[in-house]
Amino acid sequence: MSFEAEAMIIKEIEARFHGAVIEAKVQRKRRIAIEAGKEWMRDIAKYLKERFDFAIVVSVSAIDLVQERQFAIVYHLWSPSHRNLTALRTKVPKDSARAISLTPLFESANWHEREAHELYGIEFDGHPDLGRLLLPEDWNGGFPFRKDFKLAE
Amino acid sequence: MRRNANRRRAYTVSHSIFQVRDLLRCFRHSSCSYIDFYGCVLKLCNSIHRHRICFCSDHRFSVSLLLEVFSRRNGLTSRLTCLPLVGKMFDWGRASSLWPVHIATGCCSPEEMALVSPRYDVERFGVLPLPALRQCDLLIVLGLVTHKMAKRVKLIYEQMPDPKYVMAVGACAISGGLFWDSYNVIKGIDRILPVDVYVPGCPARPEAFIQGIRLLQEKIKRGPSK
Amino acid sequence: MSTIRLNWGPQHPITGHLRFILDIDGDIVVRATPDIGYTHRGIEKLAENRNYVQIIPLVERICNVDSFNVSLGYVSAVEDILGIEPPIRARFIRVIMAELNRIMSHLYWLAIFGVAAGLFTLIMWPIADRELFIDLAEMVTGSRVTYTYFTPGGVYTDLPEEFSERTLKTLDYFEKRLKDYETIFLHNKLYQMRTVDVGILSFNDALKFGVAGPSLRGSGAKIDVRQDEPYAAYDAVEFEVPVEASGDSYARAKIRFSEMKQSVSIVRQALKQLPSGPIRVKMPSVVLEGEAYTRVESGRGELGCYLVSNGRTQPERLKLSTPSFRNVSALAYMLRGVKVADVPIIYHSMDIWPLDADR
Repeated sequence: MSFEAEAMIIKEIEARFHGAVIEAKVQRKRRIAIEAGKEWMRDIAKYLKERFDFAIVVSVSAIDLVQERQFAIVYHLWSPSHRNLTALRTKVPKDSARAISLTPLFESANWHEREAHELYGIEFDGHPDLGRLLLPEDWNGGFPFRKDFKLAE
Repeated sequence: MRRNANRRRAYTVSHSIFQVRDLLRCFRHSSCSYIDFYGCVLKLCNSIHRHRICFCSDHRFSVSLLLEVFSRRNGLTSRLTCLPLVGKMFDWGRASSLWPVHIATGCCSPEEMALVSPRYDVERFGVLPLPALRQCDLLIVLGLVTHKMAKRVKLIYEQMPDPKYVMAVGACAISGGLFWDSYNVIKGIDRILPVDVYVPGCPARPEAFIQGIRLLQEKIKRGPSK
Repeated sequence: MSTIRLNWGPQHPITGHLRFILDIDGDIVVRATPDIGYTHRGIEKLAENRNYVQIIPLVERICNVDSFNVSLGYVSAVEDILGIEPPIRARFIRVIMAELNRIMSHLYWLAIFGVAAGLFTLIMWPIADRELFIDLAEMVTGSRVTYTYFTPGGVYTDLPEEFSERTLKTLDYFEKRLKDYETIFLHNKLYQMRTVDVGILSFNDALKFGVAGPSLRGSGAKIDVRQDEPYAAYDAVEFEVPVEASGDSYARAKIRFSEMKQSVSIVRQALKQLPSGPIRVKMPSVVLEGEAYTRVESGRGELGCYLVSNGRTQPERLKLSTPSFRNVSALAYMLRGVKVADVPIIYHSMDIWPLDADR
């Protein structure tokens, strides 16, 4: 099965951000995945927004990669006109978990990043308000979504 | 407080105490008998009938006050057992008009909506969900309770007037249910509140819910309330 | 300027399990801060402690009035990773049950709208009509709200023989009822006074805040997952996606009414075309490795399920991007500058289910 529309997007991204993109591939129909360093995230997201109309951040997921001692942060962006979902992924070290916030570009990323901050402890530079969202006000039990936080047996 | 449709005049609660003041005279110096007590209640009912005002809350308060004084004077521990008939009447009234506070804590809450629906119609048992918790006597904990919500549920329970009852509905309210290993879910509402009836299910079916209400009604009619 | 701080919820019949902190100056809301997390169970973390089949009932309890659609997102993600496709009969059954669930979800919304607007008939009628659809779901699955019926590879049991006839009867009755609802409520001057030009969300703001579902389509954006990337058997049925341009609460209500009509038509088409055959494929005995992001259109809007697996019996990460979470974040902006009496109407027109937002 050929995914021409998806391949076209990847080709343009790789041409524009040559050297910055670690990996870019077509996963299946309407799904592409791009991985880049954290300092490139805002530029790539801005290009996706302006060139391909990726207008909405539908999800921001953080994944605790225990063996690599890193957090993977995956932004899923949807383009209504191209009907394509792109997973924009970056990795930050666990010891100094700081990422660059995409909220100034996409207001729809605001609460998703706030949630990732609260549950994983990742700092998002440039985020307007990383306050409490889901956990109780007096919560001091750590970051529950990290793998070293054990649930009851 | 305002009484019935007469919105212009305000009555104070102390009125109900003054009403029984001369009736209490018979209790003061000697131990009194059932006959003395019934006599006082009859006098009170007479005065209500004379003034043509309905048996509203401050008159219930007057009778409760008489009951309280009578039982303490005669060294009785439970004022309801001293007057079985009146106590039973109050219990029947309370059981037939359980008004739950509208507090949705978890995913069993749509089933409470189904209870109110024409099919299950829980209002025929006298149950009327009410948002105003000062007039309610039943706290139905519907589903899971998180640590954040638990503080509010406790606050609501403390604000409700006595006597009050708690019903734990759903597996999550009874023991944490499907989320037993969650870091944010209380493993059973009976860790923070005294529960009277447990209704199992995930979510509890409306039929089980109605059976829970019937069990609570029988419990109230059976004995003294907390 | 001195304002009064009003705590709206969580003990309130309209907000349900969430709170708004409203700063009010006279009759106008100056600032609204949503406070969620009263039903946060950490379902995504709990999923890392369960195997892939045990996660299905867990995911369903995110939105139990709409659990067919929610569980469909998750089982589709598992199927995507495994590279399997359910049989054609199962795909049609999924469409039928998903659309019946959409009708149930919208009727529940309509009933709670009655609570918000203070129209008591509007509470009783939809709740009673919803019971007819619950009966249909109970006939198939045995359960009233959380069904655990969709499974990776297909569905658990086949439809009973009398299901088709009974469903068509229910739909005939419901179509007449929808006309009644429109006449008595949608075209009612009182209802219109309370909802027209109330809580306007423009097209640009709707995309900016990332709202989903009827709230997005009410602002003129024609985005519906069933047509953008058809899943199950949605490519085999014809239906319209209602869109309104005004962006007010009335537009969002009109869209939900239209969606119910479209759902009736979809179920009729699917029942007519329902092919015979198996309802489930045999699952390959391999462990899952890979990742997938599936989108489904639930009653409240687009639900995204991101599943990452690494060869173990439990997932590495399950992330659910729920429509209510996206819509609540927009409310902080939408409730600014409105009258206090309009706040329940605006809140409710966005159809927030707090359990969906908190997960």
